[in-house]
Amino acid sequence: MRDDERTEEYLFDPAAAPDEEVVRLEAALAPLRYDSDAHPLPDRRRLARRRPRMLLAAAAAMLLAFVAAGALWLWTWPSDRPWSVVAGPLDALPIGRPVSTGSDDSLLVRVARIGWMRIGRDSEVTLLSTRSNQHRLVMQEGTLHVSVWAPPRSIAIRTPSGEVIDFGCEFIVRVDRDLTTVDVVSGWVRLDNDSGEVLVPGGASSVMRRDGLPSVPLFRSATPGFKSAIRSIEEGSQPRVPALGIVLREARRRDVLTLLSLAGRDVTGRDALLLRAAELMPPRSPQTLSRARAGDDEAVARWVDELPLPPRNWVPNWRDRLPFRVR
Amino acid sequence: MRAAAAGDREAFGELYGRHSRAVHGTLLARLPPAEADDAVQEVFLQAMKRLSELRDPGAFRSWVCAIARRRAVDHFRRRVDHEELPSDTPSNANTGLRAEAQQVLAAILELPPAYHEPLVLRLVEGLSGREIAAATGLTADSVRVNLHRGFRLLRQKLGIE
Repeated sequence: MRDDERTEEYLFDPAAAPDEEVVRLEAALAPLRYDSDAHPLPDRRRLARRRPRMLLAAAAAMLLAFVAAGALWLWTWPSDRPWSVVAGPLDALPIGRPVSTGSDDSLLVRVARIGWMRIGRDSEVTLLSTRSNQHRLVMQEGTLHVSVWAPPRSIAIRTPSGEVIDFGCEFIVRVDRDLTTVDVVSGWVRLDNDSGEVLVPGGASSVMRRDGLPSVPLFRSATPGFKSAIRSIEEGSQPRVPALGIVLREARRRDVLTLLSLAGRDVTGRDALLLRAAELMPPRSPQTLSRARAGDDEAVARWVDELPLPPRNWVPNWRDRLPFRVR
Repeated sequence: MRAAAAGDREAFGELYGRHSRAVHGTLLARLPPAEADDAVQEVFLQAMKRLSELRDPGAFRSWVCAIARRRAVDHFRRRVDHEELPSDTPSNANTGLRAEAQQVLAAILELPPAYHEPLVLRLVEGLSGREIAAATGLTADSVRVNLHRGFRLLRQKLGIE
């Protein structure tokens, strides 16, 4: 058999007498040969799963875009557009004109698109200005119940004794001449006047007068004795020592925020308040206590940050935005 | 074949073992090596889904290779839709393969297209002329001629005389 015939025959039938050149090229190409044992056939369900995963990613991207568009729509508001009134004798809360309620009526107002507000009986409120995430009001007297879900400082209410600023939350403001009381339902609220500021978490309250610091946050669930003693220490209305004794005795774990806040203001009782706070809710590092006792206010602030308080982030408070939560 | 069509995975596994090289060779004549490897399994999974459509069980090889050809066409269509086609040939797309194998494959793919599939199926996958005929739908005589002429051209291209 001639070489050419041998090559042709071996090319067509690998069982025939081998041709040296073909064998050499077969060997050279061998690394590319498919090995089915090295590539077991995958389960059909696994392949089917690939597509849903891609679909899931596409759906997630669409959802994200939808949420972003929704958020943009929620938080944007044209400058100085009045807020609409949901229930009450007015259609809208006008800009720059005081609105008063009588002893028998109240107004339920939609706060731009970010929440709602109930103006209680015998109240006087002026909507100063509105625009995206910057709504400003003046409150002369009465009660205001506000619930918003928006970035911090979206709503600021000026009262005769200072300013009440939301941090993504629900709260009730009561103004009686120069006394402003704020009960925070959820999230955080800042009370701010010329003397200073205080951050109040959900479940706690604070009062503010024109001529003094806003009071320390005081949980409404605290014992009456504790609340009364704290007030008397802040106002200086009773002898300090017995009141401090009541505070130390009746303080609960939840009241540690009050103790630490008061320790930052009450120089004479500071050490006793810090030690009691450490008994109830010790800081993670023992050095925090020793530094706080040595007068380091930053150590006190770090300790406060460790307390189990509502998240400072306003986003988790989205439930407050649900329509059925309107009260 | 009937058992595989009825969903018997083991029976289908046998078909896969028997015909995967033919499918791979068909793909390798058209796709970069790494993508051909991946595409083999996709072709068989597609075949598994559509096995009931196959009228003649004896034509499985040509049927599954036809699926492979369509898969290769789809691959390039998708690439044209989404990106520029790479200028490199399949030979230098997979750096994990030995350089010599890549060079020889590149030389095969530079020959006229009629020789690509027969030579790849024969020299890479080790299929006989009759098996290549079953995979490509050509007659055995045509395969014989294509292999012979193709190999002669390949030798010239590689400088083997």
